[in-house]
Amino acid sequence: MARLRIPTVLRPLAGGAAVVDVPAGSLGSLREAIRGGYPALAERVYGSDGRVREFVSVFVDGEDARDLGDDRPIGEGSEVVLLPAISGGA
Amino acid sequence: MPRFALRCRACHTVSAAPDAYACAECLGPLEVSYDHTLTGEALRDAIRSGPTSLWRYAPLLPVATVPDDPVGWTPLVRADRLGRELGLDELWLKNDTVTPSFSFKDRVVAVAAQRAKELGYDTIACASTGNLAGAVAAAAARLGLRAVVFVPATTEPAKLAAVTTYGARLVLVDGTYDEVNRLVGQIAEERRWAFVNFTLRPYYVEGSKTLLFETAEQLGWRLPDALVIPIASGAMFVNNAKAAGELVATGLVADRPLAFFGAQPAGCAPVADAFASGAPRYVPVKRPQTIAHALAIGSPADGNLVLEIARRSGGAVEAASDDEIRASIALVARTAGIFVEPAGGTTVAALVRLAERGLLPRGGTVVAYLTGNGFKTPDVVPLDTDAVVRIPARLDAFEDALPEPPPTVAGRELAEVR
Repeated sequence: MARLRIPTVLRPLAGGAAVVDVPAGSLGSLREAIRGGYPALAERVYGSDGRVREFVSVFVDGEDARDLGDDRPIGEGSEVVLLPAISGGA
Repeated sequence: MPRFALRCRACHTVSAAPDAYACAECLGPLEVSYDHTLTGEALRDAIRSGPTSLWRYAPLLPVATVPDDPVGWTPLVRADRLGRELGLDELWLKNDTVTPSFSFKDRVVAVAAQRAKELGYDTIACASTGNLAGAVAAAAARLGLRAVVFVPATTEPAKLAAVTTYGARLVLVDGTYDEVNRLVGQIAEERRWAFVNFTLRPYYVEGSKTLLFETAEQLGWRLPDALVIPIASGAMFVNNAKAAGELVATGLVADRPLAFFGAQPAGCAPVADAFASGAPRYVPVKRPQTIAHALAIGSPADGNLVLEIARRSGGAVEAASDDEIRASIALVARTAGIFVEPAGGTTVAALVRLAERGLLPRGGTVVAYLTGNGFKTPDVVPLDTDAVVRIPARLDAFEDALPEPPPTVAGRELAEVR
């Protein structure tokens, strides 16, 4: 089970929730769980090839998921953060 | 019809919310697009009759009202002695070391803070490598807002002392700038503060355009042939390209080729590395190692667009080592009388490299942006002990230490002249 944090702009696609619990043991199963539970959100986050879309960042316990494989484990209590990729930069 | 709107850079959807920063359709970055009603000579007249600050360009900025907040209109200095050393006939330095908080960040913050007030915020905030923190704290003090700033705990102490003196709340974060950035990205989703480089980013980056607006006006309403710009997030670079487009579109200057050159420190050079290898996208740098803390952003938000603009415009992105940066701080101090921080040293070091490689137009108009003041980073350039003598308070001791050289005329000994 992972805690998934959703940015304001995407919350309407998850019933308005800022945080949801998603049953997942790896990055690959996280994607499938989001697809199953929140298909509109999944559509916005992942391309049809399963890769994270260009303007979205997914961080797993602080690590950028773009650099990680589908088999990257997600532990109990792991935090997965979705953010618009453009955010920040001085 | 409003004069400006937020539009997605990727899918061109217009945002309904005035304080969104990501597109509700595709999460792409939003940018300000304008409906320019004033153009040509009429616009030039409006600018000429405006204040001697960046607010003279208010018709080209995303604000409803013009505040009494004098920021910008910094000197554009002709640097002939530095130019001669580099083999450049017409070199200019845009001296942004002399702004209210001594870095160009005062420009972007001036625009974002004014917009924050217009949108009803009472607190401005940011993630910063140091200079932005100072600019946010100073602007909040000038405008009567509260400020909360987040920086890496390793930020130069001189930059932090100013922040708390201005009265801002300072949050030191154990981590790199990119880690601070990610944390603040999450906080920005939870607090109704105006995070200038997140939630108000589309407005914030517009402030960078005023560097080129001023440069063009100071050159007598013309574009230079080449610009050399430091790259941190890449927002200044990208928005100066936008500024060039707006200057031409509104008829303020004639269209002509303008090559965009970028400068990064070798210890954090994701964009320069990608430029050199021909890659279309940069690879993030996880642990930046450089004295140029202001440029130590390993995942620059606009890095890939910088690559595209540099290539399309006939420019380049160059990296310089810390030793070259230190030497260039001394070079520009000695030849132009401007004391810059390492970000400025990086720009000058890149200028030196580009000139040596023959990539800059020798006879053209070349402008480099010096974006931060050297007095903020005093530890970077140690005292040159070779230039120092210590003497007792007696005239003979002075005469011994610095004996008078033979009299000269225009650098030649008098005997030689006679």
